Amino acid sequence: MFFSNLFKSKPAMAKGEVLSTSLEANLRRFKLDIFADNEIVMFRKFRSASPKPRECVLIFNDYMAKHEFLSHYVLQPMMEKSIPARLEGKKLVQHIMNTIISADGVDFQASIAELTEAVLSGSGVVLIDGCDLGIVVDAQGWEKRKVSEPPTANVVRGPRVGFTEELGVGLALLRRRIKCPSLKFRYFEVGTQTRTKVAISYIEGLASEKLVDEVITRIEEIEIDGVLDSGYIEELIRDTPFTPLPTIGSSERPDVVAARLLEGRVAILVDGSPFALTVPHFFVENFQASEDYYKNWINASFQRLLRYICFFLTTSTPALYLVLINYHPQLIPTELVLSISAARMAVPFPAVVEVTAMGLMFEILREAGIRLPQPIGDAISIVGAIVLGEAAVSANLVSAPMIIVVGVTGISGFATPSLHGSAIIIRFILVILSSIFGLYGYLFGAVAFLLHLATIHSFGAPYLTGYISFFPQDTKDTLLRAPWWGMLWRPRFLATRNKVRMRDARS
Amino acid sequence: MSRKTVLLLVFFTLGLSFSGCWDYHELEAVDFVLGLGLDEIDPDFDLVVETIKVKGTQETEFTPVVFTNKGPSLSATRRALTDQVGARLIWSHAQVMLFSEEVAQDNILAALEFVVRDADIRTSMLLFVTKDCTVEEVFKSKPPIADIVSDHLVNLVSLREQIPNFYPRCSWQFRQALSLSGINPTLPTVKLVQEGTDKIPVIDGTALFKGTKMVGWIDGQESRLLAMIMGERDRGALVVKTNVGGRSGDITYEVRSNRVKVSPKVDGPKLAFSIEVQLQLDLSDLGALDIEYGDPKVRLALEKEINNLLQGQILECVEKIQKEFKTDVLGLGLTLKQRHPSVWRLYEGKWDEVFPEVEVEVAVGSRIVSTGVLSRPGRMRE
Repeated sequence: MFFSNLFKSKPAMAKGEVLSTSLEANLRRFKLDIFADNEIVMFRKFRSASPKPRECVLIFNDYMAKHEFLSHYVLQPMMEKSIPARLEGKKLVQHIMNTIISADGVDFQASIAELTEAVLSGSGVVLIDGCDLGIVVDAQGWEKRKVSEPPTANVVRGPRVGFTEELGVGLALLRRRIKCPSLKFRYFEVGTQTRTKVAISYIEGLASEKLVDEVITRIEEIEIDGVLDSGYIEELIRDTPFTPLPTIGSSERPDVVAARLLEGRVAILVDGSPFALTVPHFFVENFQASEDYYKNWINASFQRLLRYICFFLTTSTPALYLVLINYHPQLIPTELVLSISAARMAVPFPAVVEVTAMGLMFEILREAGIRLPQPIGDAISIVGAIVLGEAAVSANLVSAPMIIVVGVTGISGFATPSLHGSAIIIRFILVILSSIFGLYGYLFGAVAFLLHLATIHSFGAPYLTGYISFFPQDTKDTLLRAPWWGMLWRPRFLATRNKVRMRDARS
Repeated sequence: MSRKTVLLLVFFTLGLSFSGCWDYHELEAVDFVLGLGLDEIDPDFDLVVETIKVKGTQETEFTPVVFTNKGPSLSATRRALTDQVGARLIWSHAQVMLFSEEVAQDNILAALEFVVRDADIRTSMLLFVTKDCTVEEVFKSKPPIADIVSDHLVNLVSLREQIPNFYPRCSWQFRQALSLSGINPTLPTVKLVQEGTDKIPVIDGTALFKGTKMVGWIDGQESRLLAMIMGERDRGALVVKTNVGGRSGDITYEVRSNRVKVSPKVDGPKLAFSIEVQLQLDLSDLGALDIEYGDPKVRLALEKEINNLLQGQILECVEKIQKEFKTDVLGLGLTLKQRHPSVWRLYEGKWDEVFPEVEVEVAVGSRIVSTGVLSRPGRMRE
């Protein structure tokens, strides 16, 4: 009994269902069926002015439509002006749209489904007695987050603007950077329940058509009930799903996305997510920071090298430490090996247990602190520093060199934020291999990782694109960042149709 | 499975079998051998090792511990030693190896064979011969700064440029000199010097070998000249008794650079060698001697005195090696072999007899290139 009640559905909304001429019937359909138990949809009844007043109703979403706007530009003119009695149907709504309602975005619709969606997305819908068409007035207005500096990618030098959750804001931010008409946007709706707006953006004539078509195909093939963040799209359209490495780029910064568009990439923006996706994504992009391009290229190159070193450190330090002290003490200078040996003297655990436990502890602290409010987060880090760093060493549970190893590993992981998650996985695999097979195990692990990198593709392009090329131009933005006057061409794999970024002033 | 997969699997499995958890040992369960030595090899190998005892995790304290053991071979004694120490011994950090005079005179190859064969022991390990003391005494002595005797010896070797009275050799160099024809090996000498109540080890002088047997010693001063002839860098002090323009006294120079060229002179049946020494010197201590060294003439006179002094010393040293020990530790034969292989073939079989009689000319050319921060002698007001 209970279950049958639960599953007894309301009269379904037929796809082709349209309004009837009776306002009474339409209102009942909306109020009692479609928007039943949905208090935030308001029904405002009113009457147009004499001589022949008509019964009307304005349906709108209480929290998503601008009340003042609707009162001022819809209710007021309609109540003050009269509607000629002879007009009906399309003529009637066109008359109202043309002469009475002074809002900028107006349209009319007959389909109940379309009108419902309009109300749900924040528009006002005016129904008039005796007319089987509804007028849709764009009146969206809700609390929005301001455009501010993205917390995930702070810069010392560079624009302090980030995308917000609004798709429109994101597109406007891109458009503001690329004012050329060849910057194209195409819209999709993904998610049978959420009906999330997704836009792809690319520069026509720069991005390869094949790539654009591939992105469109993959997005159109998505059949999911809801998309709440661009992460959904990312995972649904990515290549090589079984790898921890990112094969689709994501950024909160419009300048980064604009730069990638200018290289011939395609961006995907999702309503409700401040993270824009860019495809294809290469391994080298994980080491590029937006700031690299805004400051002196020599300093930027050094910092980029530093990021590579950090990635090596964060993946390899614990494994190499294990290898050195357990398998190859002859590779450490005598004084160092003696002091490490002294530090480990009273520690009851084997080094591999120490490494794993401390590594886990670090990740636990990080994970626990990451979503905490700022004041509690600080407390966690103090506890972590004192308990793990100081107390563990004085209690001889871990050795002091181990704290350094874990510290170096943890800190250097933050230098390449987009690889942070994958670095943890790689690190643990390398630790396991090193603890069983020594230096051989480490090397095999490292080689396997390299092979894995070489097998990954992102939207048709090899993941390691840029590192090895016969053309020096291709490698100018990889390990180092060449000066702008040296990077005359766009990446060859992307901008296949228009390779020249800059003309050489000297030639 | 495809052929490729099988091959890859075979490759990986074989590769991994080179190393594995059977090689795993925790660092706190091992002990590091820092130096080793042999007091006698006949009838038994008397092995002395210096290991280190580590104490305290916060404030660490390193105490050297010396173990001795006897056995029929070096390899066997090494195993037996593990029992005595109670920890797995790691030999790859051994920095020095000492031989007693007795071992060096007996047959050093028997003592060295295992050391160069074993994969763990480095070929960069420094070798020494102890003089007037046993290896055990050296390892049990108390160096003033370093706690560990092996460290002390390594430190001394690294400071050699300033105190160049020995000619350091590591095991691969010694072995090379043993195996090449036309050269005989040498090893630096370790002595104990009484310093207050303690005896401290110093490196001074050289043990000369003929083949695998030690034949004699030369002192520190001669060792410096030997090292110089062998092309070793020298940054040491050079005290020269000077008599210029009627004033006499000691002047100390510091060697800035030294270049030595040994060349054989083949003239029909006559064989001779010339040793040319080029020195650049800094005048570092004039003492009370008041001479105008800025004057080119005076400078030339000073240089001439240095040349004469060194020339005499080098000649004397070479002669001593030739006549007294009759062993070609200078590598004159090797130089001949490299420059004139066809001539060398005539002498190859009888080099031991030819070497003591061969004529050696020495030419020294020195140049004073700097006089510190003073361009004139530091004089009192008159």
